[in-house]
Amino acid sequence: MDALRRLAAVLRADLRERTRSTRFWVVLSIVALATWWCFPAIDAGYLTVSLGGSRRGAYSSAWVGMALALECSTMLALVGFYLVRGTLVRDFDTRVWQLLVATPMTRTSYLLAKWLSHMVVFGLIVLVGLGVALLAQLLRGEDRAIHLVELVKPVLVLSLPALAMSATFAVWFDMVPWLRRTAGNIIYFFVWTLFLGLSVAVLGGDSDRMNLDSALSDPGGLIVAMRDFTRELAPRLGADTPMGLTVGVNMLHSAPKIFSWTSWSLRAADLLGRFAWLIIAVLGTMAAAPFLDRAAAHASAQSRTRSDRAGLSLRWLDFILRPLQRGAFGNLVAAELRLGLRQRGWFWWLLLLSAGIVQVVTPVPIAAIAVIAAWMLALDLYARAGLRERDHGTAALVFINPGSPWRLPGARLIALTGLAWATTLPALLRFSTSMPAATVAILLIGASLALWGMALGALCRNPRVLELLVVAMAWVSVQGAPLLNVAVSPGPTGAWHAALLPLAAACFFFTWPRLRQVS
Amino acid sequence: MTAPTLDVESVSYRYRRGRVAVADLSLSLRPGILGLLGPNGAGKSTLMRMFATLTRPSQGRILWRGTDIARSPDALRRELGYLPQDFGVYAALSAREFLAYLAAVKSLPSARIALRVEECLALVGLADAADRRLADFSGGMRQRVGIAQALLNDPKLLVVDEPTVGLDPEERLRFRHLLTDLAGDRLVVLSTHIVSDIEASATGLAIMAGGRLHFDGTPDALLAAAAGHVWTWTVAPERLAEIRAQFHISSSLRKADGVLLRVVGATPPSVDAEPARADLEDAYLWLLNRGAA
Repeated sequence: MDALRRLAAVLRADLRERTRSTRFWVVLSIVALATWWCFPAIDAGYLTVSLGGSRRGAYSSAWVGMALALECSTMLALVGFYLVRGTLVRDFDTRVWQLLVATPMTRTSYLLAKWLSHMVVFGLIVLVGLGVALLAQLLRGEDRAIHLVELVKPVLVLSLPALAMSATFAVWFDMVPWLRRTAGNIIYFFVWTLFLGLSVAVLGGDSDRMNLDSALSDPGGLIVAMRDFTRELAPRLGADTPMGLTVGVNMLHSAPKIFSWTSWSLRAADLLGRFAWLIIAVLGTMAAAPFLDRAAAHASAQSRTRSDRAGLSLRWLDFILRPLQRGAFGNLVAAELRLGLRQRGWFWWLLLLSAGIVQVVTPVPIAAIAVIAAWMLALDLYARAGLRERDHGTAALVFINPGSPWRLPGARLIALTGLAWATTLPALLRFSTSMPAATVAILLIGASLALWGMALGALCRNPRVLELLVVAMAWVSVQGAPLLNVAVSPGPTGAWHAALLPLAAACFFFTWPRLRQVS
Repeated sequence: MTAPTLDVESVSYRYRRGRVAVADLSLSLRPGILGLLGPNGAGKSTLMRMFATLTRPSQGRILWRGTDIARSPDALRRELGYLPQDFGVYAALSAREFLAYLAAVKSLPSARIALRVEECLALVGLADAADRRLADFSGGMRQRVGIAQALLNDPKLLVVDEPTVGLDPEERLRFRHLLTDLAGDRLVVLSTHIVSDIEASATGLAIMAGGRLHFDGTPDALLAAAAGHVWTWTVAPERLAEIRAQFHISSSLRKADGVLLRVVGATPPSVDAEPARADLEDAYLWLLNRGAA
């Protein structure tokens, strides 16, 4: 009983800490808007959950519940990780952990409380989503019969285990020292992609190949959903009807084909499969308990030193930056560059050198990917650029100097842009004669990364938003999307980065003074 | 250049939720060390942040050499050194690198930076540790780095907020000597709740409580005002709790014949009590409790 009370106390304190931030309520509002957008009117020209590219269920309780569950299992499992992670690190950094460790509470209870706290946050988000889904069902008016069980069932069966896995990853990524910051945020994106990729590989895009009797289940539940769609709909719509499941925006040129989906019959074997993922998530969280003390000790040492690694002395950098240091502003730009690069380890320089070589010696499509890799290497610098004074507690030292409230970010912006260009210098030189549009695109993307890094840091007061955005953009760019890939349509790529620069500048201009005040 | 002046005219600061941190405070500061004393939550740090141009007054004006610092903060910033109560450092940098970075932020001419950094390191006794990473510094050494950065631009107004918290006795002494050396033609504002820091170095004294200014004068003037209001009294140990509830006790010392108390009040606590010479701690206690006494 005492153990339960202790667990509840940790859970309560954690939730109070989270829900008393403006960020939490902003996220809930965004979720409400995004959920509404997931249930478009029949003539909206797009679908967010579809079968065979153009079919969806009529908006019954069962279908809106299913659609919401699939969105939560995929999208919320990704974005939610970035939202909930960090509570363990906060306990380590604020040394609350040292107070907790002196109580009879077990390490396992502590971790389970943190995991449950993540789950409650997810629960609140899903609850808001369910409310909006219900509203959408009533307002769209395709099927106004309300069945609460059918509405909630898919969320419990599909989303709960998926979000439980995300919560477990959030715990583990806070535990492992090198996963606590930008590297962890990047790696999780690939973990999520891997799980999604495995599900898609099993689905194979072709429902005929699916074994309908299998009890196989993936973390997101896509396979289970797809199997039941096939089992239920193939006899009704015809065996030849394409049944590929799409979760995400699917643009339509004509009105979607609507089928009836008023209930979801779930097999016991599938229920067991989903339950197995929930158990795996709980056991996975508990498995972290033996490592908790070591993780906390490492974090304490890290926060004591705030350590940013020891770094290299970089005497050569002083030599290179000497011409900049003739004037006070140039001196500040040089100091900013030195400060950012001083904390890089030799391995980082080695990776940068490798990226530089690849930019020169490989075919253009590969060189363009190496350019993206070079930007990714300095992603933490861009994402945390606006937050440095807040993170290090140096605001009161730097913002009392003449002109520094704007001079300092100006110098930092120039330093970061210079860094983005310097890390892609081999490609810039290579493309400057043969592909001028690509050269201009690289220059614009470099400036865009630096400015959006400062702007989103100041707006969200969190580096994760930019990290998630850039990682996602890098991922789709590697597959050919013209977002960061200058080998694919360099003109439009550069153009849309240039077009968004004023927005980033305005965003920074209006949010930076407020961040400076609270730092 | 004329002697620096800092004038605080009816300054108030109100938080967004309505709580008043500083209420209608007026002060005139001239070269020397002003000790700003007050209990926790008195509004000292808010006032210090206003002096440092980090916070703007909700009402009133602060004038540096006659210029309103809310309208023209750079006029003061060029001559300001500030050591905040809490501050962070870039732990991966050495003390020398960190100071060089801040010197660049303060717009010191490039040619002067290296020399000035060395001077400031020597001033705070960190010349030997200048190339060690700040991560490896003790709390006292970090505090000295904080002092060094405040001196980089040779400030005419030096604002130091609770500077001796976390320092060991030797470091505290060193800091007091440093402040005395620095005072000269500078204006130093030393905020603290440690009375002995003020006793050792302040030429002027301001006492705040509940956001209001309760005293503005010299330490001697405060001592003179408290004269005749301090008593020593030896009591039986079992009466201690009852007496503490009744009187303002500035110190207590257990002895063979009972507990020797220093009592602050308008009248003697007992016929056995003997008048005593007030020290600054007694005078401070008397000032803050004279309404209640």
